[in-house]
Amino acid sequence: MIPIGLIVAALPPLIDGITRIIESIKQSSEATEELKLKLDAALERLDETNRAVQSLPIHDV
Amino acid sequence: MRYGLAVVLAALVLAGCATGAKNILVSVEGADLLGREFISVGSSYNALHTSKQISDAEYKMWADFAKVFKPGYDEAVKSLKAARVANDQVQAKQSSDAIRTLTLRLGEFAGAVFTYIQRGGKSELGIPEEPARGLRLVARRAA
Repeated sequence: MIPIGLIVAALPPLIDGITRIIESIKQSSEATEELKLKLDAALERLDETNRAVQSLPIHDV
Repeated sequence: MRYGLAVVLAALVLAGCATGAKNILVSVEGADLLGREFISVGSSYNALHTSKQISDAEYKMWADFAKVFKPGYDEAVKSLKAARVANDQVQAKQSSDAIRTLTLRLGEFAGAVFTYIQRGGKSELGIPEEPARGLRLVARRAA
């Protein structure tokens, strides 16, 4: 049987570890969301640029 | 003008090192910059031709290239958007390769017109031979 004192002693670092993992997942999720927003904005700009490229006149020669 | 194209190439090299959505983002930014460079270079050629500073034959080299560039660029943009939706890294890399080819060819025209303008129009335009080489694949993909 594991002594209760050992379990109590092990709890704080265990809780600390779990908290850090949750924090890390949260940060990673926020970064992914930020990246998605950046990508969507960049694709919108690319669409506008493509329209301008397609409408650039080419002289008949 | 030339600096911008160097940035596009650098971005595409970085895209090769990045992963996932970051890879696609760098390719999209590179494609956007390439499109803006094309407009800048094309506007210069149009202005030089309108003011009769370059001949029809010289302009035709640009016109032929631009006619291949446009559908190739459009295809690369569509491909990047599809890669974004599917998060398809293989498709993103193929688009990136097409953009790199277009960037290199555009660089030749940008270099020629840049030198011409720098010399005050006192030299030949100096467009490299076969400026549309390497674009056949891009055009075929666009067809």
